Amino acid sequence: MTTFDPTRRHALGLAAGLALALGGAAPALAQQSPIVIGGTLGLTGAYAEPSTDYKFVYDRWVEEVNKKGGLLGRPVKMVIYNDESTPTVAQSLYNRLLDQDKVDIVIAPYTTFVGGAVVPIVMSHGKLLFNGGFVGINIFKNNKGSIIGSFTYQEPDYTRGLFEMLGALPADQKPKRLAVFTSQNPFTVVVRAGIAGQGGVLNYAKAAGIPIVVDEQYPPTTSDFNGLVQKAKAANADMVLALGLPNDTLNIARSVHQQGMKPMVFCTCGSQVTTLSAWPKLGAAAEGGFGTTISWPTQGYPGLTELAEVFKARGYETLPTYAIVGYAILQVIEQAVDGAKTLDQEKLKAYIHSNEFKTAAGTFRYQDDGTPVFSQILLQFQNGQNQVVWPKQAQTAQPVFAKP
Amino acid sequence: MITHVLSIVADGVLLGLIYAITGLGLSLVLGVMGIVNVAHSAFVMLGSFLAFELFRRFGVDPVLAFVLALPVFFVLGTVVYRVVITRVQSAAQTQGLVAMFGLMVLIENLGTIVWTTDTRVVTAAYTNTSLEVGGVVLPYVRLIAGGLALLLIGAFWAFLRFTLTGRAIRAMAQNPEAARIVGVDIQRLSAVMFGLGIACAGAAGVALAMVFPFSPNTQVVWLAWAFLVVILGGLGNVANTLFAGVAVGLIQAVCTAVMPFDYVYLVLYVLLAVILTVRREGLSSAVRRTI
Repeated sequence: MTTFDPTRRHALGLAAGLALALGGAAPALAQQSPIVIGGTLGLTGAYAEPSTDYKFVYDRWVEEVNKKGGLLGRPVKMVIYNDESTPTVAQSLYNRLLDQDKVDIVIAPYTTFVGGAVVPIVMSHGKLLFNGGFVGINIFKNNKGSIIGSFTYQEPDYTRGLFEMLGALPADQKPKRLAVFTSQNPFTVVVRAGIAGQGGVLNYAKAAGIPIVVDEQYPPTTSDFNGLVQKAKAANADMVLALGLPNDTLNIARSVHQQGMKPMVFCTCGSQVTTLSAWPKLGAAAEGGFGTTISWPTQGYPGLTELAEVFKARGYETLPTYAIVGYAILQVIEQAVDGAKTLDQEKLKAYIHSNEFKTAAGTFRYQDDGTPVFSQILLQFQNGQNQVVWPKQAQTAQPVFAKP
Repeated sequence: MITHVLSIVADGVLLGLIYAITGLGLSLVLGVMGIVNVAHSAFVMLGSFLAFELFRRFGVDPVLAFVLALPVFFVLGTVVYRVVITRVQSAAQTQGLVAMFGLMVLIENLGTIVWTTDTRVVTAAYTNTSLEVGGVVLPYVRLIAGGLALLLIGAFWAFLRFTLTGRAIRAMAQNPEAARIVGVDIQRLSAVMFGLGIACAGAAGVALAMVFPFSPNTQVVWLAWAFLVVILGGLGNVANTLFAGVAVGLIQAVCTAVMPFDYVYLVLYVLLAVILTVRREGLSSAVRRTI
């Protein structure tokens, strides 16, 4: 049997106490079980490019938050599976995240096509879905505030900023004839028509008194848009809205330019195409094009400038919208868990719906359906780079309207 | 009004030439060899990315890339023939179809891994300029792509008609057994034919990259157009492929001008159904035919 004399025991006790006092905090964090945030991304397949950027943003945030001491004094671990850009794969992976991995917090995958498919699974497990991955006003409304979003505008509001900017123009300077090309895609058809009479190009144009002279919808597989553009040209449209995804929108932009159309306003209002790396590569066809995004580095929102810098180092002249919303939803999680001091989903939901969150996408106040209050940046591509032309307080340049 | 009509016609013809060149390789391989090459669009995609990489890395003009694509894809086609086609040639046609489908999926996925799904554009010096003739606007890039399509189709027509190899290919298409008896090396000619078909696909990919934005997973839409042209024009007939392509382009341009765009594709596919019903033949007639 080993025995210690009292003096030696005392010295050992002192040493142990000193060790705890000096180095106890960091090992304590490391020893705590981590808070696990789980989700999927299409790291291969159709959405590999944006998903890879989301993953980059997520990894960066996890590193940041753990450096700051984690959440609730526990380290943060993120489990992101590859859903192969496929809804059915994502569904089985969310079952795994919830049933086997038992993640504490669930984040959404990229795009409505994949994200919409996992919502029922997440909701049936009584979890909130922190959604920086997709828009879908109907999905938000149907789930009564249990999906927490970071896109500050949903489909019906995609063109709101544009029409608000045009609304401020003197009557004789406003466009007179609108042509709208809409991809037959569940997302862009709501951008066009709005929902329940609210929002959407058709309603905004009516309210602005701008008659629609061409209103065409095209299948997502459409390969050539020259005929449609000629139709708009023949109708003397001085405002053209392309409500499509990147490939078709770039195609329309090129056709508009090649056909010699010089509409006063050409907007890629179906998705944030002007923030993509392909847009400047259109050359002269890109000049003057309007588009939207969530926020802009000059607005000074928390983390936004740094995010823009790291993406610039990755070769992006303009910070992609999905990087902003991907980072913002993690900032919401961080502030909500810190503020509510719990991972209990109901308490988190109550906290989120009654507090403000300072994010890279702006200061969020949440509406009942779980979407942040509307805010938007309207960009115009001028002299080879994007400029903010609306709202006025964020303007980096005056809008330039082509003379038809 | 006349200007508008002329614009529609010009647009239809130029678009039709692009459709024709997209269908040419598929038509030749299907008509001469009886192979339903569903991987055709994957080679079109590779052609587009060849143009993209040559332009991005070395500033090579897409017109030159079009010329370069022909030998590059010819070699690629003969390799694919040796490695894949010869192994499935004796199997049932459905197995060959599955093999080609597998090849398409493989190439597209490799394309996605290498180039990701980002949309790419090739913007040459003439891409954003147009020629205006009497109020009709003709984008140079479409004129060039259409001209290249005409040249290639003409070259193939002449090759099949006036060269010994071309005549041998025609003989093989009409009666392979008889051709074999008179000394035609069927295996070698088949490799040549498949290589030529893939060369057409690659060149078509370059032409498409000149005109349209693309990504590895978008070029598959051209397969539908290629089949439409092939079925409308008949199998393996170069001149008919040209006329079918132009006809499809014109129908699309006119329909777009006179009806909501939602109905345009419907009209085209109803037309296809009518033709198949009247002629009572489709891909099942992918047996040797006169060319």
